[in-house]
Amino acid sequence: MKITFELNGALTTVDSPPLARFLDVLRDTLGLTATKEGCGEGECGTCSILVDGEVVNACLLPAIQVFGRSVETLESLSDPAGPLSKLQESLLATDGAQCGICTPGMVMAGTAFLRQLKATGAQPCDRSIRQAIAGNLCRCTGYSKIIEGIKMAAAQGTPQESAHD
Amino acid sequence: MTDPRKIEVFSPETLSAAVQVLAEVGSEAHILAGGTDLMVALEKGFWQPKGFVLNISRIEPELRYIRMEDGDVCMGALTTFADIARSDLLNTEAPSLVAAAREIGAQQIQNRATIGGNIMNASPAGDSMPPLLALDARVVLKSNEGPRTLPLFSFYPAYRETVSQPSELLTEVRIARRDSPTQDYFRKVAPRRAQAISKVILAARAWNVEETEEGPRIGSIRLGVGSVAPTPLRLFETERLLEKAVLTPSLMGAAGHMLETEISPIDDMRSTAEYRRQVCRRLLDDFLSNLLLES
Repeated sequence: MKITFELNGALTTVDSPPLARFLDVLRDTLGLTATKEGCGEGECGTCSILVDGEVVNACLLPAIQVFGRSVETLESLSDPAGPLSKLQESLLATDGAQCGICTPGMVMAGTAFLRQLKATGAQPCDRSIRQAIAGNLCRCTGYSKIIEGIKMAAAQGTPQESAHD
Repeated sequence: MTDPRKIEVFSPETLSAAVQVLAEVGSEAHILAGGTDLMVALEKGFWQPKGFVLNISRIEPELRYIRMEDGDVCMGALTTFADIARSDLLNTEAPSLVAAAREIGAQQIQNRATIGGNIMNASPAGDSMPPLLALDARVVLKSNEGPRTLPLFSFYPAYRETVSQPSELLTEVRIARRDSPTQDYFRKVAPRRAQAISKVILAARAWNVEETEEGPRIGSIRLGVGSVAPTPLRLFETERLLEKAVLTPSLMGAAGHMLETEISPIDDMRSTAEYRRQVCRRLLDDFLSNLLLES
């Protein structure tokens, strides 16, 4: 069936079985492979994307339910040729990525968290950051550096602003 | 066999249209809300949908709300756990439910999973049901013939079964608001705080606790447990023993014994019957001893 939604700012229509995992629609139909599959059952968070600004697991999202919604994937944060987002830069600076499998999901969950901080004016602490990424498993167990990276990005501003401004 | 992902999905735009569909072909309908349980079951092959799927997510404007109505705190069935966690009204009126919402999955799940879905999935380990039982929750089921409201404690006749009929849609959950101050408790015992299925859950509420010379006297108490019986369970007998009685160490011991007779835990991949029995009892002790301290 035809499903129309906003993808990274552009109106998009895909033809997909209604209960297809939106993760597969992104990767296989649309060729957007930044969103990774880990467990496929909502445990690991590496397929995290934003729907109407809220972080969700793309593996648990039936394609039909993106109808009329606004979807953001990791591809929206930076252009391959352009600058990285502040969170991506911060994770580079703190060595917040090892094998890289969890990284796309960490960036999306972290981005949702940083936007929420900006909206509420709250100050980040280790506890709130840990809570924000509790649904994202890193099996290299590099959590401390990821938390440091999110903290660094929070201190610099929001992730929507690109690194050069 | 046809690919289940290609099964026909109907997405009504209004509650009345959804209820009309259920009136006509409810026995062939699988209801899809946030999808956090169904999509896993589909992926794993545990769920082989027959008939069609009724996707109720587009009825959100009618079924996603938290508000006071006739002295009850009401939640629409499509209210997410993220909505519950950030609701000022529920933080005041239902702190145990808010505590449960914050430990369901993680942010990704809380943004999608709904209170209605958790109730209708009917898992004995469902996180929201013990607090809802302790909060005297009632559920509203709507059909073509109108709504009916029934207490959650009468909703689960057997393992993973509900008394809801194929023609009915769960539309609302109502919590009785208490005028007097309450003491509320929620504790989920699991390997970690996020992304875990419980080994044991106890939720409790007590109110009208008075100080007497021999100790505190509990006016009213509600106890809801999870993962220790085939269904979410309210501990009526233990409540009866504790209500209107002075809370002495011997009464606490008797209540623990009574709790053990009411629950029927099993050994499974997450825990053992013995562990669950002992820990469930300890959780009750924990709640009651804090009542002693606070009053």
